[in-house]
Amino acid sequence: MTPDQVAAHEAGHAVACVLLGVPVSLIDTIGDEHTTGRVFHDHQIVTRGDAIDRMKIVLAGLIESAEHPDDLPEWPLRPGIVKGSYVSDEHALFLIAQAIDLTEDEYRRVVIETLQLTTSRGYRLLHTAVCGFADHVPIVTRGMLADLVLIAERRT
Amino acid sequence: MDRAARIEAILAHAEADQARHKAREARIRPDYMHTVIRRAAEKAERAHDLGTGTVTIKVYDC
Repeated sequence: MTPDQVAAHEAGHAVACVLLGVPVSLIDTIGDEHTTGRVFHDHQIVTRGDAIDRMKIVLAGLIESAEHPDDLPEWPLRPGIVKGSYVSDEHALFLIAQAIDLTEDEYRRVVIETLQLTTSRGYRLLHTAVCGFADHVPIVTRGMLADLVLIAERRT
Repeated sequence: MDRAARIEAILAHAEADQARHKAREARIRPDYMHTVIRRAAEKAERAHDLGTGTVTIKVYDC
Protein backbone atom coordinates (compact mmCIF):
# COMPACT_ATOMS: atom_id res chain seq x y z
CA MET A 1 0.00 0.00 0.00
CA THR A 2 1.12 3.57 -0.65
CA PRO A 3 1.41 5.97 2.33
CA ASP A 4 -1.91 7.55 1.29
CA GLN A 5 -3.60 4.16 1.21
CA VAL A 6 -2.18 3.26 4.61
CA ALA A 7 -3.47 6.56 6.03
CA ALA A 8 -6.92 5.99 4.50
CA HIS A 9 -7.03 2.44 5.87
CA GLU A 10 -6.01 3.36 9.42
CA ALA A 11 -8.21 6.47 9.37
CA GLY A 12 -11.11 4.17 8.48
CA HIS A 13 -10.59 2.12 11.63
CA ALA A 14 -10.16 5.26 13.74
CA VAL A 15 -13.18 7.16 12.39
CA ALA A 16 -15.40 4.11 12.86
CA CYS A 17 -14.19 4.02 16.48
CA VAL A 18 -15.09 7.67 16.98
CA LEU A 19 -18.56 7.29 15.48
CA LEU A 20 -19.21 4.15 17.54
CA GLY A 21 -18.11 5.91 20.73
CA VAL A 22 -14.83 4.03 21.16
CA PRO A 23 -11.89 6.07 22.52
CA VAL A 24 -8.84 6.04 20.20
CA SER A 25 -5.45 6.49 21.83
CA LEU A 26 -3.18 6.48 18.76
CA ILE A 27 -3.20 6.22 14.97
CA ASP A 28 0.14 5.00 13.62
CA THR A 29 0.71 5.14 9.85
CA ILE A 30 4.38 4.13 10.04
CA GLY A 31 3.91 0.54 11.15
CA ASP A 32 6.54 -2.06 11.96
CA GLU A 33 7.95 -5.30 10.55
CA HIS A 34 4.50 -6.93 10.58
CA THR A 35 2.11 -4.18 9.57
CA THR A 36 1.95 -0.91 7.66
CA GLY A 37 0.00 0.82 10.43
CA ARG A 38 -2.14 0.37 13.50
CA VAL A 39 -4.92 2.02 15.45
CA PHE A 40 -4.82 1.68 19.23
CA HIS A 41 -8.21 1.94 20.88
CA ASP A 42 -9.93 1.07 24.14
CA HIS A 43 -12.76 -1.05 22.78
CA GLN A 44 -13.90 -3.82 25.10
CA ILE A 45 -16.02 -6.70 23.86
CA VAL A 46 -18.56 -7.58 26.53
CA THR A 47 -21.80 -8.10 24.62
CA ARG A 48 -22.65 -9.51 21.19
CA GLY A 49 -23.33 -5.92 20.10
CA ASP A 50 -19.81 -4.96 21.14
CA ALA A 51 -18.46 -7.80 19.00
CA ILE A 52 -20.43 -6.56 16.00
CA ASP A 53 -19.17 -3.01 16.61
CA ARG A 54 -15.62 -4.39 16.57
CA MET A 55 -16.31 -6.06 13.25
CA LYS A 56 -17.46 -2.67 11.92
CA ILE A 57 -14.25 -1.04 13.15
CA VAL A 58 -12.20 -3.71 11.37
CA LEU A 59 -14.31 -3.55 8.21
CA ALA A 60 -14.10 0.25 7.96
CA GLY A 61 -10.35 -0.02 7.35
CA LEU A 62 -10.82 -2.77 4.78
CA ILE A 63 -13.49 -0.73 3.00
CA GLU A 64 -11.08 2.18 2.65
CA SER A 65 -8.52 -0.16 1.04
CA ALA A 66 -10.98 -2.00 -1.19
CA GLU A 67 -10.83 -1.17 -4.88
CA HIS A 68 -13.48 -3.71 -5.80
CA PRO A 69 -16.43 -5.38 -3.99
CA ASP A 70 -14.56 -8.69 -4.04
CA ASP A 71 -11.75 -7.13 -2.00
CA LEU A 72 -13.87 -7.34 1.16
CA PRO A 73 -13.73 -10.67 3.03
CA GLU A 74 -16.53 -12.92 1.80
CA TRP A 75 -18.53 -15.52 3.64
CA PRO A 76 -17.46 -17.99 4.90
CA LEU A 77 -14.78 -15.99 6.69
CA ARG A 78 -11.40 -17.66 6.75
CA PRO A 79 -8.38 -17.38 9.06
CA GLY A 80 -5.92 -14.66 8.10
CA ILE A 81 -2.38 -13.88 9.19
CA VAL A 82 -1.13 -13.99 12.80
CA LYS A 83 2.47 -13.05 13.57
CA GLY A 84 3.39 -12.36 17.18
CA SER A 85 1.03 -9.68 18.46
CA TYR A 86 -0.08 -8.87 14.93
CA VAL A 87 -3.47 -10.18 13.85
CA SER A 88 -4.61 -9.30 10.34
CA ASP A 89 -8.00 -7.67 9.87
CA GLU A 90 -9.24 -10.77 8.07
CA HIS A 91 -8.22 -12.97 10.97
CA ALA A 92 -9.85 -10.63 13.50
CA LEU A 93 -13.14 -10.85 11.59
CA PHE A 94 -12.83 -14.64 11.47
CA LEU A 95 -12.20 -14.90 15.23
CA ILE A 96 -15.05 -12.56 16.19
CA ALA A 97 -17.53 -14.26 13.85
CA GLN A 98 -16.56 -17.63 15.27
CA ALA A 99 -16.84 -16.41 18.86
CA ILE A 100 -20.39 -15.12 18.47
CA ASP A 101 -21.64 -17.77 16.01
CA LEU A 102 -22.31 -15.12 13.40
CA THR A 103 -24.50 -16.23 10.50
CA GLU A 104 -23.97 -15.40 6.83
CA ASP A 105 -27.03 -13.14 6.86
CA GLU A 106 -25.74 -11.27 9.92
CA TYR A 107 -22.31 -10.85 8.35
CA ARG A 108 -23.81 -9.41 5.17
CA ARG A 109 -25.85 -7.00 7.29
CA VAL A 110 -22.75 -5.90 9.24
CA VAL A 111 -20.92 -5.24 5.96
CA ILE A 112 -23.81 -3.18 4.58
CA GLU A 113 -24.21 -1.21 7.81
CA THR A 114 -20.48 -0.46 7.83
CA LEU A 115 -20.57 0.66 4.20
CA GLN A 116 -23.52 2.92 5.05
CA LEU A 117 -21.55 4.30 8.00
CA THR A 118 -18.59 5.10 5.74
CA THR A 119 -20.82 7.02 3.33
CA SER A 120 -22.33 9.21 6.07
CA ARG A 121 -21.40 12.88 6.02
CA GLY A 122 -19.93 12.82 9.53
CA TYR A 123 -17.69 9.89 8.67
CA ARG A 124 -16.55 11.41 5.37
CA LEU A 125 -15.61 14.73 6.93
CA LEU A 126 -13.65 13.20 9.78
CA HIS A 127 -11.99 10.69 7.47
CA THR A 128 -10.86 13.49 5.17
CA ALA A 129 -9.56 15.45 8.16
CA VAL A 130 -7.61 12.49 9.58
CA CYS A 131 -6.11 11.58 6.18
CA GLY A 132 -5.10 15.19 5.57
CA PHE A 133 -3.47 15.36 8.98
CA ALA A 134 -1.72 12.00 8.52
CA ASP A 135 -0.10 13.38 5.34
CA HIS A 136 2.01 15.56 7.63
CA VAL A 137 2.06 13.73 10.96
CA PRO A 138 2.41 9.93 10.83
CA ILE A 139 1.46 9.50 14.49
CA VAL A 140 -1.91 10.94 15.50
CA THR A 141 -2.42 11.08 19.26
CA ARG A 142 -5.66 11.15 21.24
CA GLY A 143 -5.46 14.95 21.63
CA MET A 144 -4.77 15.55 17.94
CA LEU A 145 -7.71 13.34 17.00
CA ALA A 146 -9.95 15.23 19.42
CA ASP A 147 -9.06 18.47 17.58
CA LEU A 148 -9.85 16.86 14.23
CA VAL A 149 -13.21 15.64 15.58
CA LEU A 150 -14.03 19.22 16.62
CA ILE A 151 -13.05 20.54 13.17
CA ALA A 152 -15.21 17.92 11.43
CA GLU A 153 -18.15 18.51 13.78
CA ARG A 154 -18.14 22.22 12.98
CA ARG A 155 -18.71 21.33 9.31
CA THR A 156 -21.61 18.95 9.91
CA MET B 1 -12.79 6.40 -9.35
CA ASP B 2 -13.20 8.74 -6.39
CA ARG B 3 -13.81 7.49 -2.88
CA ALA B 4 -17.54 8.19 -2.75
CA ALA B 5 -18.28 6.48 -6.08
CA ARG B 6 -16.09 3.52 -5.19
CA ILE B 7 -17.80 2.93 -1.84
CA GLU B 8 -21.28 3.51 -3.32
CA ALA B 9 -20.50 0.84 -5.92
CA ILE B 10 -19.28 -1.59 -3.25
CA LEU B 11 -22.38 -0.87 -1.15
CA ALA B 12 -24.69 -1.45 -4.09
CA HIS B 13 -22.90 -4.71 -4.84
CA ALA B 14 -23.25 -5.81 -1.20
CA GLU B 15 -26.95 -4.93 -1.20
CA ALA B 16 -27.45 -6.90 -4.41
CA ASP B 17 -25.66 -9.89 -2.90
CA GLN B 18 -27.77 -9.59 0.22
CA ALA B 19 -30.98 -9.46 -1.82
CA ARG B 20 -29.94 -12.54 -3.75
CA HIS B 21 -28.99 -14.34 -0.55
CA LYS B 22 -32.29 -13.47 1.13
CA ALA B 23 -34.24 -14.51 -1.93
CA ARG B 24 -32.52 -17.87 -1.99
CA GLU B 25 -33.06 -18.39 1.71
CA ALA B 26 -36.71 -17.42 1.64
CA ARG B 27 -37.41 -19.15 -1.67
CA ILE B 28 -39.20 -16.07 -2.90
CA ARG B 29 -40.95 -16.32 -6.25
CA PRO B 30 -38.35 -15.96 -9.07
CA ASP B 31 -40.04 -12.96 -10.73
CA TYR B 32 -39.95 -11.00 -7.47
CA MET B 33 -36.37 -12.05 -6.84
CA HIS B 34 -35.35 -10.78 -10.28
CA THR B 35 -37.08 -7.44 -9.64
CA VAL B 36 -35.17 -6.97 -6.39
CA ILE B 37 -31.87 -7.94 -7.97
CA ARG B 38 -32.47 -5.84 -11.09
CA ARG B 39 -33.11 -2.76 -8.95
CA ALA B 40 -29.94 -3.40 -6.97
CA ALA B 41 -28.02 -3.88 -10.22
CA GLU B 42 -29.35 -0.60 -11.61
CA LYS B 43 -28.29 1.15 -8.43
CA ALA B 44 -24.84 -0.39 -8.72
CA GLU B 45 -24.54 0.72 -12.33
CA ARG B 46 -25.56 4.26 -11.42
CA ALA B 47 -22.91 4.30 -8.70
CA HIS B 48 -20.37 2.96 -11.17
CA ASP B 49 -21.26 5.62 -13.72
CA LEU B 50 -20.18 8.27 -11.22
CA GLY B 51 -16.61 7.02 -11.40
CA THR B 52 -14.10 6.10 -14.03
CA GLY B 53 -12.85 2.75 -12.75
CA THR B 54 -14.04 -0.74 -13.62
CA VAL B 55 -16.48 -2.47 -11.32
CA THR B 56 -17.85 -5.92 -12.11
CA ILE B 57 -21.36 -6.31 -10.78
CA LYS B 58 -22.24 -10.00 -10.55
CA VAL B 59 -25.96 -9.81 -9.96
CA TYR B 60 -27.53 -11.42 -13.01
CA ASP B 61 -26.28 -14.94 -12.45
CA CYS B 62 -29.05 -15.96 -10.09
